[in-house]
Amino acid sequence: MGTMRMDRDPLQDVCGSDNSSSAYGNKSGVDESEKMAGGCPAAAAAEAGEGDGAIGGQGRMLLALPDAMLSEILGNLDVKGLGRAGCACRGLRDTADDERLWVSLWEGPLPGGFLRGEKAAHVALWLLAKGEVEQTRVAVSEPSSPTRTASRRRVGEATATGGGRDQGHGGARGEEGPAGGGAVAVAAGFPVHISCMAINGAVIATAAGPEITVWDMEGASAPRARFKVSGHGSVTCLLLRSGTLLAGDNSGYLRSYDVSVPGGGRPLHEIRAHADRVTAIDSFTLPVGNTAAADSPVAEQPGGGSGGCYRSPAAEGEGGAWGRGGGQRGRWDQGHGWGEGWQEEESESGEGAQPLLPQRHLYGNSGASSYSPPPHASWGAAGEGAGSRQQHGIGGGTGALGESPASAADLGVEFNRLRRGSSHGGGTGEPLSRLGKRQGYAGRGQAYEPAGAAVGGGTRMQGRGRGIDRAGWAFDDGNNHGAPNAWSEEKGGEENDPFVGQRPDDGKGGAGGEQREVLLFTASDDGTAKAWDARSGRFVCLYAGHTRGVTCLQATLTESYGPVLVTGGGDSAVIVWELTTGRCLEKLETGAGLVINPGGPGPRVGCLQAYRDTIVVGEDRHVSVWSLRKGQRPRLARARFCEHQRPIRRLDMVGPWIVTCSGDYVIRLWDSRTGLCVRELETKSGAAITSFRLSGLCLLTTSLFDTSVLMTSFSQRRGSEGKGSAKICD
Amino acid sequence: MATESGSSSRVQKTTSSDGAVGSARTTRTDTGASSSGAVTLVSMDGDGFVVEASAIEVSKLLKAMVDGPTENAAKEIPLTNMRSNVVAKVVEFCQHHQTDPMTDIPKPVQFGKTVGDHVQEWYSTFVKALKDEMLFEMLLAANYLDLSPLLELCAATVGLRAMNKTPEEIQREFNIKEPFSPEVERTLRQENKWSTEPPIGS
Repeated sequence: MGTMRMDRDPLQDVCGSDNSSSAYGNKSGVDESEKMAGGCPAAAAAEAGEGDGAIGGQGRMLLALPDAMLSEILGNLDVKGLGRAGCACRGLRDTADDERLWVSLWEGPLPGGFLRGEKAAHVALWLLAKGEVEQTRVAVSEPSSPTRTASRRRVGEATATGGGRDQGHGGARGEEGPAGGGAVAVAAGFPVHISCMAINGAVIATAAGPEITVWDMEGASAPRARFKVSGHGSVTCLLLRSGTLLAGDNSGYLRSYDVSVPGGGRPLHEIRAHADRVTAIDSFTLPVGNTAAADSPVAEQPGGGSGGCYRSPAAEGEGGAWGRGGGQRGRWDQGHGWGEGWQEEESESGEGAQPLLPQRHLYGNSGASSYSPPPHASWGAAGEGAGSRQQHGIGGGTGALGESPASAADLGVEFNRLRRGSSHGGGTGEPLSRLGKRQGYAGRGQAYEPAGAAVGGGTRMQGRGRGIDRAGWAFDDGNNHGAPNAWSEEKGGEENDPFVGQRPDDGKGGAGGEQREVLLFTASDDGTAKAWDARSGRFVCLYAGHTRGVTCLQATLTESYGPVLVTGGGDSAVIVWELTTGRCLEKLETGAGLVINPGGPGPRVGCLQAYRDTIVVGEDRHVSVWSLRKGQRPRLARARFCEHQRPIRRLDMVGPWIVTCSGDYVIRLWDSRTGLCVRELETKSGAAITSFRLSGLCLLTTSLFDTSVLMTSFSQRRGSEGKGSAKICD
Repeated sequence: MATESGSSSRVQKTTSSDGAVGSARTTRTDTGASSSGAVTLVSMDGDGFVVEASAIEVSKLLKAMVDGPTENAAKEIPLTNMRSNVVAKVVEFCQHHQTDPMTDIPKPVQFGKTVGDHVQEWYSTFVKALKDEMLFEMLLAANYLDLSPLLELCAATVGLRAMNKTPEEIQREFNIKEPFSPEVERTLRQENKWSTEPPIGS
């Protein structure tokens, strides 16, 4: 060993020069210290002298290995070892987080090959399902407040399964027996129950009524921040991503908050996203090379070029695009009066009086429900455009989606976007070009000319849009152009959070070319889902086609269709949309044959999870698994197998397992391969479980009439109680 | 080069100059002396190792080279990126593998098991004799030569060093100094709490 001669080049040759040089390049910052510390990877050894032969001499050596070999090495580790290795250093974490390694830890083939990306969660479930874990109580505590006690006493709902269960144990926290327990409440009170929660890493956000509270999962006894939704809104859904909290409320507003500000504060941004309650939010980072809303007729947005309407009769030449759009939709929406809607729309456009009709308008006649938009007095000023639209919707009579003032919000944002385009010129080239494309579909060639389009659109719309300007002000780029935009604020330096791929300093329009675009998706009771640019809050795409409220959505990258958005609605439909264009790709007939209420509507799709080509749908009390296949109808991979007593409120898929919670007390773990219930978890919340989240080995649940989050933790062996002292508070 | 003394007698370390690589290249091994099925592996130090062609077939790379269309060229295979002691070890491994193929190591290695529990004794002593950098060099060599049993063996050995260790211990074990930022570390620990506590076996 003493004569060992080491040379950098040969080693690099062995490694494959690309890999190893990049590895060295990445780690050059620590070179010096490594050498000083006697670490002697081959590369450094040439200069630093010989290795001391100690076991510690391999660090850089290890990390200098090509990724494939690192995977090979880590592939020998078991679940825990892999988890720990991931904590050791950055280089190992990247490798240890590789899903392929985790996949290999599963026993047996996975049905449909689906595996949820949340490593820690599926490991938790892995342990859980293998029975190696035991539910233990974790620490408790926070003094109970009067409100909480009071609210706890109101427990009484959902006793369907509940005979012997401990209900109404308000204030009796300490008396919970350890047997079967495992749920611990820590709370301070809100007068209403927690309606939704969101987790990101060790931060948890919960909302009750109009208030949002952000907590650190451990170590903090006081909330990190509190926010209160203005107006009469109450928060209906949350999304927490790297320092930014998004909240949708029951009147259609979407707000973003900066959770890193101690104590809370005002929303960073606020948009009127929908006409009705926002039911779900999701985010998605587009793969490189995808641009949202590039070339679809459905995505076509009100452009406002010369005609002032986005589809003028003169556009009929290019109107093939529209025809195509209609055809596509007609495929699954036959007999729903598409043509009618079209015609009507047509005539209105012909008058040239209608600016900026959202696409959704075309669905005015589809379906027979009597949905009518709630009145929004404040939008009365939305201008004649909005007014007449509404009229039109009503004229459509049976308009399932009706026409609603949400379009005014669209207008506002759209208007804003245009104005921004005109004022910033090349600075926001991306939106402009996109706009140009959309307009191009409308058959207006000149729209491809950015300046002309933007200015034309802008001026045109200013007259009409003034009244609704408010909808879009939050995103007026005039204010934050060039400044870090809080929608995309990214905390924690090297965190690779999927929410927003850009660094704050990328917020400038000019940098748009290289950025990975991050989209936000909102679903609403108004029957639509929408995509928003996470960076600017700009409206990107509309997904319209549900005949009732959209209850859930998820964006995912599928193998058969690329990035898609999957939405489920109260109309018992699950629709797969082309994410970037808003085109309907597939419609899953989930509710077929399931009669919940004779003569009434079909089962409501309450929740879904999509991962790769697998979609797990929770419809009423049942779960079904679908798998998408390119060029074929989606296949029902596993028919309804779940039998909860109440409609399923939330489900999650973890490897081959599906976790569901419903209005009964029980969280169930299902094996999708057999359709059998693997395990039941009773959380002693004493009320219907409304939601749950998996975070590492913890299961966080919220319950009806409860102002606390229950935390169930699992440990590997008996007697290891009290390991965590997590305090999760309302 | 004490390690080479352990090589099988069939390996003859042929002439080598202790000088520069360039001159070493000039002192060719007399391949004519060996049997028709023999090839010579020349290390970066210029040392030649004569080995039977059938023995090195376990390496997909070497097999491809030996089976190549131009037989003459394949008689001598330069391995310019491996030092002599690595080549010697590789040859040793190949020759033993020919007589007694290594059993597969299951992945992941079950907790509490060692490499020795899965492979024959010869292999476990073989890999135990490899120290530190040598082990990594073998790993790289195995990767380069597409010598899967050796790769498997070395990878498992390295991997098991990280088994049942806390992140700190792993850092110490491999002398990794690449700390996370505190915030990231906190998040990471929270996410991976299930794996770090309680310690296995406690």
